Amino acid sequence: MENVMKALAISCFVVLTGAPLAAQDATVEQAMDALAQKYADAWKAADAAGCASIYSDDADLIDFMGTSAKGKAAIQESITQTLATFAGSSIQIVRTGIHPVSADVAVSDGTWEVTGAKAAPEGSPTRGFYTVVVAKQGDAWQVVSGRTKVAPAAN
Amino acid sequence: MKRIAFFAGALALAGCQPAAPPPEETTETAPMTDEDMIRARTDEFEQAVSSADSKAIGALFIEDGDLVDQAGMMHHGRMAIVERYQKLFEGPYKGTQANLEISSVRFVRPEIAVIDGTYELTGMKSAEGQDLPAVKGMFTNVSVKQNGQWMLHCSRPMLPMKAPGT
Repeated sequence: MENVMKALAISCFVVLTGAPLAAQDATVEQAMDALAQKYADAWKAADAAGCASIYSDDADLIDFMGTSAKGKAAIQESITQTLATFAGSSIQIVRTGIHPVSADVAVSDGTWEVTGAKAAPEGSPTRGFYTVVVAKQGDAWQVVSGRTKVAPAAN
Repeated sequence: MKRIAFFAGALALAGCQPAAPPPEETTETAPMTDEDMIRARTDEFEQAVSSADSKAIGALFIEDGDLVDQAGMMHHGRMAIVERYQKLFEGPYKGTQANLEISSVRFVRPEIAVIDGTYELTGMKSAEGQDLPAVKGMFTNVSVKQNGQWMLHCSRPMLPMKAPGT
């Protein structure tokens, strides 16, 4: 019975998170969703350090403006500025795909949308796409490269 | 010749070495590093775009490779990527010339690299045949080394809100 319950739990996870998964991919997808949730929770709390914690120390981030931040400290600084722009907001992150590169590296894509900003400058993009490269560092998955973009129509 | 052999033998017997022949000029080049190979593949991509060769672009990807284009559309698999570029070459990319510049190559594993750079497309025309301004964007690719060849695993071009170099 216990095994049946476990199987059901895994099936439910697969249904909730999208495409059917190989056993190895399930771990990557679970990790990706956990990272996204951690980021969203930290964003809601205006916690730039919490947002940056999903990145590896040597990660890099290129945002939709084309601005590059190299290293976790620079990424945290970038996020601090973004959070100030979108004060009081929440971010919704929806994973749309994941493409394992190896057993411990994967590329994940999705969409992001910021809602509830109190005083974002007019014309600030509030939705777009993201791509992250995640790699397993020890037992933990971390983002080693993050890229955000907005659709050209929003440019 | 016998005389030369005699002198060489005599020198050897005397504990001396004959003068070493001058080093031959070699045309061998240093073996390509992984980064060199990745840069060469990027040059191939540039050439393939400039010659409107969608199949050559597809050949740069692994069979299961994918491309998320500037509008966020996913093109999964080599065939889908070839078809996407073929449509572009028959439409807005007709006659376009590409210039790709790598800004960084980062090895997240010895055989997995994240490559960033900028691209510029010139020579595009509208459906009415009018010249269009150059398009400047950025790209992030993930490449993997398979059987000694660096292949594109994922390609993510983007049009940042602020064009590169502006």
